[in-house]
Amino acid sequence: MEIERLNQVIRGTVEVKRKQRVDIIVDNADIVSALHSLKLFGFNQLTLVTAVDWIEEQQFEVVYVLYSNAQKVVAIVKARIPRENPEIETIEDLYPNANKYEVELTEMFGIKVRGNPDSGKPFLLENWHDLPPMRKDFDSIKYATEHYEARHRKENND
Amino acid sequence: MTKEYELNIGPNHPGIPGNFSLHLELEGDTIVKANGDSGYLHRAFGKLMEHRLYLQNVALIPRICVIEPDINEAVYAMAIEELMGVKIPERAKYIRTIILEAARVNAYLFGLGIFAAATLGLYTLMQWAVGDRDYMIDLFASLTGARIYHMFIWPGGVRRDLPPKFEEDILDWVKFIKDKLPDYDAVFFKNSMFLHRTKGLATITKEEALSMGVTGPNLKATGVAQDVRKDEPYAAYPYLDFEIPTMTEGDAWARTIIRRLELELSLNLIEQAVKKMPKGPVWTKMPNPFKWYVPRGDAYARVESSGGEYGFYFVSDGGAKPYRVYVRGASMPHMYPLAEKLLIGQKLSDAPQILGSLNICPPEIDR
Repeated sequence: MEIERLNQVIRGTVEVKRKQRVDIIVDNADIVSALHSLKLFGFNQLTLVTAVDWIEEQQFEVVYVLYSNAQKVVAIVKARIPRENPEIETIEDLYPNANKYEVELTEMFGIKVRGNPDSGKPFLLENWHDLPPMRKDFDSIKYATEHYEARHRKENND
Repeated sequence: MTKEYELNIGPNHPGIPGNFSLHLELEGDTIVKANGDSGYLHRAFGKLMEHRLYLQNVALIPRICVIEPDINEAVYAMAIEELMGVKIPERAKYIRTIILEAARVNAYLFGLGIFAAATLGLYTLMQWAVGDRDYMIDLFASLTGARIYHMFIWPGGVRRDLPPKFEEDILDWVKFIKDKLPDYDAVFFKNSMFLHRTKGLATITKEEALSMGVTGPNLKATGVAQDVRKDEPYAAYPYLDFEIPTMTEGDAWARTIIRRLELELSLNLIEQAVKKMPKGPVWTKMPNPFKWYVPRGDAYARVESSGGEYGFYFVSDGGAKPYRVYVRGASMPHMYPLAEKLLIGQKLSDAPQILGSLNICPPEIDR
């Protein structure tokens, strides 16, 4: 595939990492337009949506993995957003299966998704009132010791 | 006069393939709205892996999915090998292929057996398939020391070479299953009850499937020959000769028949791999577990599982533990939104067949 053409249609950095892998780094505001151009370019399948918590830089990195069925190339689109009041735009109308990935993003990272009616609804967790659990500052051992009893152990091995 | 009402089916229901439930709104016995409810199996594998060393994670990851655990080991190893720039020995590639294909056959046997028994009441296939799968589990025990969670594929290759006589044993097993296939056909795939209940049921078109991110047998049943083994060959697949089976019907029947064809393909691939396998080392030495650092970067490793594309999005910050791992299960788009949309307008009694034909594996959704 012609990488030059991809550079022309997307505002951002395009890098061919290896055969069948393209890394695309875009600005927060350009996510939807970049994904829109990629869809027109032939990236017709959404593989996953997730985020990485770069706590030292006070940023979340939102990651979209797309696949082009015709060109057999995986594109990894990444955008950094601030960690304070994180918000992104929904891509549900571009890729229908994005809905639950976005719901998961809100639940696990606290990233609000504008335009997704289900964002904020519980998906995998039930009655969760703590920090979003996949954030790096969520201490799972502290949570477990506060919420669950320690396992009863025998005094000796008889 | 019909009356609208709500009904929950699952998580403990024979028609539900695993630990999730469905919240249905019905009018008479026609489904008006279907909402999936997941989370019964959520164990936060991504978070658990962030707290463990690279070697410790090898023991953790197969536990994501019971039916087909080996794919997890393979993608984990492939992601680390990509980031570290490690090349694995030729013989290890073939051993990986044999394990992955045998695991795929096991997954199909188990899945088809459960589908036939739990949703259609055809218990004979389940008795046979689960029994025949058990012979391979015994072979896995002789190869890896474990029946279900093998922890055999690991970064750098595989743990050990094959035990003596293993090649003969696995070829015997392949021949045994191949001889059994006509019986399977007679008792299930040509059974008129199966045909009546699945032909024309819950049809998906090619465009719908592609737009929703559907992969694997569910996509192949609509006529798209998309398969990671062909599109981005890993392990020893580039050296093997095979064609991806496709069908054009896109209904529950075609999705089941595709699994039957895939089963046969996997058996052929095992035979080819065993015959072509070269001699040599099986492991590229990896660092001491306590000084094992993976260079900073990210990788997306993917394989073809029995359900479709299965992958890890893997991020390393250069430390001794993974920084972030996201598990991409094939079943996530098959449940949300595909199953929720397919169920609308169907009869309640067809719901188990639709869910069963999609082969949804809840642990891949919950993780």
